[in-house]
Amino acid sequence: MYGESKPAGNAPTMYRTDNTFATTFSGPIKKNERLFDTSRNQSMAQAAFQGDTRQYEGQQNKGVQAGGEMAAYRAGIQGDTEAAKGYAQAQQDLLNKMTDSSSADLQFQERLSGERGWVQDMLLDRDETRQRERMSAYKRVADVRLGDYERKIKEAQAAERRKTTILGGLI
Amino acid sequence: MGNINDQVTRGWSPYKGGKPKTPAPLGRGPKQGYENPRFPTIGQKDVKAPAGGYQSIISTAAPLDAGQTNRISDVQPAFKSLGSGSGDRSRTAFAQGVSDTSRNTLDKATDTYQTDYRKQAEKSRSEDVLAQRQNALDRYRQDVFKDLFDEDTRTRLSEGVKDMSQSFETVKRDEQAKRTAMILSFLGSMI
Repeated sequence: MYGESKPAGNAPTMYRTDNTFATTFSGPIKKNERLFDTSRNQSMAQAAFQGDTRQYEGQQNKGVQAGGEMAAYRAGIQGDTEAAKGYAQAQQDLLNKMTDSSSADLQFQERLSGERGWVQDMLLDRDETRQRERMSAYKRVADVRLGDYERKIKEAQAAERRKTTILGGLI
Repeated sequence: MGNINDQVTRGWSPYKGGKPKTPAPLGRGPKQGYENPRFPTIGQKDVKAPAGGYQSIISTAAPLDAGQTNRISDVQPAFKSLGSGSGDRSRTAFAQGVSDTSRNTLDKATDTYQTDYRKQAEKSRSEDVLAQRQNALDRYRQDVFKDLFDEDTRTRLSEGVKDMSQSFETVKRDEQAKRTAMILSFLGSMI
């Protein structure tokens, strides 16, 4: 029944935005932490059950060994061993859950920062595109002024030549 | 031609003398990594860090605190005898032994995880900051390119204006000389 746990974060399964430069990650996606405790309690109960000595006492021998202390001792040791396995498993299980949870934090930080870096790169591209357009306008102004000046210079040169032509006609 | 040309050519005047001297040799170009007074940097001199410096959201702190670590590994021994027989003591010691072993193993596993996590976080943070530095460097390149482009465009305009002013001056002097020659020739023919 614990397999039906939902992610704690309510991450949408569909995403739509009109913002080209917004990040999309909503937060770390983690397992439901409430289930950590219930799962651990279950594991510990299981471990305690595994440590129950009665199931290792087996068939009692006859005679002086029947129900002897040695048999009880062996059963106890066996029970402790099995319980220890269960406890170790419970510990390992909790460690895994906690590491999964913190790994989700790191993964979120990595992915968000990666996306931010990419978005910054895109913003830079956008600004550069705008800047190139403005620089092109700047160059156009220079071209226009130079062209205008060139036309006027040519006219002034032509006027000088005309003066010479007129003088030639006069004399 | 208006004041704009004076501003553009900055006091330049047309050349009227004989054959000019050849220009001075260009000499060595600037060397990378060194300032050169002959070719001073005209734009931004270095990469600027963003306001507040490069920052990363990636934390390199240990992901599990001491309380969480204890919670993972803190398991009571499976058995604690209230008796005083040798079997009881032996069994208690055994239970304590497996518990301690398990705790040590978990502590080591936790420690390994913590160090692996922090190594990974440091690497990721470095990559995050490096990406930001790369963007700052790109921005610097773009700004410097803009400064170069501005200066090149301004120079192209002023040199073009000088070319044409010189060309006008040459034509004007040519035509004046022709007219003078024509008048002299005319006067000569009258003598």
